[in-house]
Amino acid sequence: MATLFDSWDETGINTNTSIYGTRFYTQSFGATGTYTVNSIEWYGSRALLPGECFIEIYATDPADLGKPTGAALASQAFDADTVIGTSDAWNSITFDAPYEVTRGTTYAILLRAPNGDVSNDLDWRSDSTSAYDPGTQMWSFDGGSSWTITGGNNDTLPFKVNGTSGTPTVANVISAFENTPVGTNVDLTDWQAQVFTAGSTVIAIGVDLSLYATSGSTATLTIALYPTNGSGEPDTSAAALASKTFAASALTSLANRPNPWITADFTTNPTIVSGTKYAIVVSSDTNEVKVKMNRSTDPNSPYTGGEAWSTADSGSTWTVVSGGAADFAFKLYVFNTVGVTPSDLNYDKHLVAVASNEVWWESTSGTMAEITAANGDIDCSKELNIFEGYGKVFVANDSNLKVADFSSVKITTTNIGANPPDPGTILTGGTSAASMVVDYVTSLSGASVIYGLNITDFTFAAETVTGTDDDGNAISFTGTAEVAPPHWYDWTAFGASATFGVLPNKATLGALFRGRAVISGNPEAPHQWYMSRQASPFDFLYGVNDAQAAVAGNNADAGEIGDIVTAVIPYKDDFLIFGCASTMWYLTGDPTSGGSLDELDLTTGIFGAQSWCWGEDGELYFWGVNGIYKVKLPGGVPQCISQIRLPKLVDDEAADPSTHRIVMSYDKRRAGIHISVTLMSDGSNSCYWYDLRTDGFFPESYPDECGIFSSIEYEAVDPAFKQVMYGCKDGFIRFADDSEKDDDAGASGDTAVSSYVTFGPFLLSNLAMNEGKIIGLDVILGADVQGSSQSDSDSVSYELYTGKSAKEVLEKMVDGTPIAAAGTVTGSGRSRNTFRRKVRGVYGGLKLKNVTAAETWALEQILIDVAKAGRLK
Amino acid sequence: MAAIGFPISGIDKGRAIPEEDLSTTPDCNNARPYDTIDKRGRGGQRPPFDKAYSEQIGGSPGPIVAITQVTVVS
Repeated sequence: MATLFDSWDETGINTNTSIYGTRFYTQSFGATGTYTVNSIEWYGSRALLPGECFIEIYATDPADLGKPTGAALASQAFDADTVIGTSDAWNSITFDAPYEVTRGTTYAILLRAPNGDVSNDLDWRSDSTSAYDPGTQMWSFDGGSSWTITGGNNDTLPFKVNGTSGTPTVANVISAFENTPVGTNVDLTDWQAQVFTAGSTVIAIGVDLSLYATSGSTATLTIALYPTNGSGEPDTSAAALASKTFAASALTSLANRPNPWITADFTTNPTIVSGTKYAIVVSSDTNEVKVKMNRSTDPNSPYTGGEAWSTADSGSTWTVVSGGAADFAFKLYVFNTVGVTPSDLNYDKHLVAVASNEVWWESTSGTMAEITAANGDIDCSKELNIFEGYGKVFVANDSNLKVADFSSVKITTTNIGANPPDPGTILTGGTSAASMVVDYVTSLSGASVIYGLNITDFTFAAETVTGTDDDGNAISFTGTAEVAPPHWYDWTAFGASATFGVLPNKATLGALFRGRAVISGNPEAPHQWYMSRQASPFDFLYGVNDAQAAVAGNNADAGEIGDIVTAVIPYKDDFLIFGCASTMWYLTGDPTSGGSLDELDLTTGIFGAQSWCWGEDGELYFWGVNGIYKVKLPGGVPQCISQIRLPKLVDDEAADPSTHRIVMSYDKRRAGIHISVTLMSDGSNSCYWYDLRTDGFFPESYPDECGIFSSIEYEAVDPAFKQVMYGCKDGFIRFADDSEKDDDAGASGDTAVSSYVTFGPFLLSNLAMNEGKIIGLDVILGADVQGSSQSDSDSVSYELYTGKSAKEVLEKMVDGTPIAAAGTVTGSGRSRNTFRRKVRGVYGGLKLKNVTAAETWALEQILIDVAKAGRLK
Repeated sequence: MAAIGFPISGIDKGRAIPEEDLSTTPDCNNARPYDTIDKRGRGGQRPPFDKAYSEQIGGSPGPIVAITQVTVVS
C-alpha cells in the first residue's frame, strides 16, 4: 500500500501555468525518506485535448538553480484527454516502472504535453502564496534547455509523491521558519542544541536541521544525539548516542536560500524510548563564525517536547535559548515499529565472584570488573559466603557484613532532615521528577546516603528530594545527583538505627528464604540463626508482634544445646534446611506464622557451606558423615547413595573442613552432579561426576589451578554463559567446555585430560578350570562414517590383561603392568582386527586410555573374540 | 564374540571383583557415560575445564571463595 511521503498541498491563490509543446514546468522536492515512488499527484486540469502527456522524475543540479538535469529517472505517459478533467483537481499518475528515491536528495517532477498547443494544454495550478522548501518551482519554454525560477522562489506547484517503504518516517518536526532567519552561531565553543521528547520507542536514523554556512568555511560539524540529564538539558558529559560529521563547506551553497535543510543520517542507529528527552547537539571544530543554525518561526507556538539550548563553553554549561520560546528547526527521522524486532527481556543477570579480598562483577556480558570500593573490605582468609536478594548480594564474612548493591541508585545528603524516609518510602526529585523506592539509608539523622530503586526514566539531579514517611510526615532534603550502581556498603539495620534492630556481630553463612535474609555461622553464637523481616533485609528487630517480623532461633530439641550450623539451605519457600556439624534440621513454613522446626537427621551433618546441591526433582544431595547423601522433603530420610559402590569414599578422601573444601554442583544440562574435594592449600583435588541418568559415580581429577572453591549454575541472559561456573584456585572462573579437548590450567597452559576406563575382569572360559584366549579385539570408536557433520573420536590406547583370578587382573590393570598385549586404535569407526595376537588366562581385562593433549574420544562398542585354550596349569 | 559397552553405571568398589556387573568398572578416571562429541550415552572422555572469562578475579592467583549471580531490572 502506497504511503504519502512528500507533498505540497494546494493551499493558496492559484495561478495558471499553460503547459504544452516545449513549455515545461517542474517542481523539485526533497525526499524525506528512501522509498519507491509508485505515483505522483499534481493539482490542475486540462484545456481541450492535449493528447498524450508525460510526468517525469529528474535529478537536479544544485550548482545551477537546482534545475532538472540528465535523463529522466522515471517517466510515465498518460492520455490527458481521458484521465485529466477540465476542472482543477488532484490527478494521480501511477508509474509503470516505479523509481526509488533516496532520503535527503532533491528531485524534480516535470510535467510536459508535447502534443498540445496554446489551446490544448495542461494547467498545473501554482500556489503563489507561500513557498515549499527545499523544492523550487521552475519553468522552461525551450524544451528544457534553460530554466527560470518562478515567482522569486515563492511559488509552488502542488504535488504529492506516494511510495512504498517501511523506512523512514518523520517522528518530530519543527519546520516552520522565521521569515527572516537569524541564525545562531556554531563554532568551537558555541554549540547549539534542540531537545525533543520521543513520541514512541523507535530507532533514530537521522535528523534534518536548518543550517547554512558562509563562503570559505573550513569547519567540520558534528551533529550528535545525546541523552539529557535530570534537568532536561543536553548531557554532553555522557557518550553520544549517535553522531554524524560533515564539512561545513557543503553548506555554503545554501547560504542564499532562506530555509535550507541539511540531512544528517547517523552512523549508528540508537533506540530512543517513548517519553524520554534527547538532545540534538551541533558543534564545530573551529573558532570561525561562519556556520549558522536557524530557529523556527512561531514564538507563540513553541515546541512543547523540549527547548533550544546553547552553550558557550563546549558543553560544560547549557542555557535555555530565549527562555524556551524559540526552538531550532529540526526533523527527526526514525524507523517506526515496522521492521523493529521486539525484545522480551526485562531483566539482566550479572555474575559476582570473590577472591583475594576483592569483589568482582560481570559489568557487561563476558567481562568481569572489580568493585573497587570493596577492595580490602573483606577477608578471604576467613569463611565467607554470599547470597542474592533484591538485586543485591549480601556478604557474610565473619565481622565483615557487607552489601554489593546492583539495583539501587545512590543519592547523598548532608542533612536528611527531621523526618527520614522509611523502608519502601517513595522519594521524588523536585526538578528531575525522578522517583525511587527507598531500600536503605545509612543514617536517620544528619548526613546520610540513600539507596533505592529508581522507578522512573528520569535521573535524580542535585535537587530537593521530597516524600512522605510511614507516619504521614513530610520528607524533604537536598540531595546530590544520583550515582548508578553497583554500590558497596556496610550491612547494618536500616539507618544503622536500633529502631530496626541490630545484626549479629559476625556471620559466615547466609541465604534468602521466604523473602527474609537468613544469616548464621556467628562464632559468638554458632548454633544461632537470624532472619530479617520479610522483604526488608535491613530490619532485624526481633520480638515485634506481626507475622513478617524478624526472628532468631536455634536448632535443638527443647532443653538441648543446639548444634553448630555449617550450611543454610533454602528450598523454594517451603523448607529451610540447617546443616549442622553432626545433625540436620529443617524449618517448614514461616517461623513467625505457624512454621515448625524439626530434625531431619541426628546421625549426620553437612561437611561445609557449599557441600550440597539440589537435584532435578527437588532432592537434596550433600556430603555427610558417610559420604554422599540424598534426601527429598517433606518426609524423606537422608540415604547414603555412595555407600554401596564407594564404601571407602570418606576414608579415601580424608577430607578435613580446616584443610579441604567440598563443593557440589548440579549441572542440569548434563544431568549430573559434580562433587569436588579440594585441598585448599594447593588446589589439588579429587572429584566425582554423579550421573543422574545412569546412577553412576565417575572419578575425575583436574589440574591444581582448576581446584574448585565455589560454583553457581549461572542462568545468564547470554546463552553462551548459561553454564555451571566454577570458581577456581588460581582466580579464574571456568566451565565444562564440550568444544575443547584440554583443560585450561591457567599459568600452566593447556593440559591433557588424562583419561582411562577399565573393563572387566571377565571370564575367558565357561569352565572354571579352563583357560580361554582372546583371539580378536575390535575397539569401535565414535566416528563420522558417512562423512556427515558428526565429529570423529580421536585415538585411544588399549591394554589387555589376563590372570588366573579376577583380583589378579584388577591389580594388573590398576598398576598398569604386566600388560599381556597393547596397541592403539587410531581409526574412527570400526577398523577390523584391532588385535591379532592371542593372549590366554582364566580372566581378562581391558583398559582404554588417552593421555594425549588436544584429543578426546568416544566409544561405541568393544567386540572380543574368545576361544578355548585348555586346562589351567 | 562378546560385545561390551561402556560401563555406564560407573565405578564400583563395593563388591567382590568377580561379581561386578559389566555395566560398572573397577577403575576409571576422567571418563563419563555421555561423551562430549555427540552427547550420547556411549562413554567418552569428560569435558575439559575452560576459562569463562579472561579476567583473573582479584588480579592474582587466589582462590575464588564465593560466586553467585544477581538479577536486576534491565
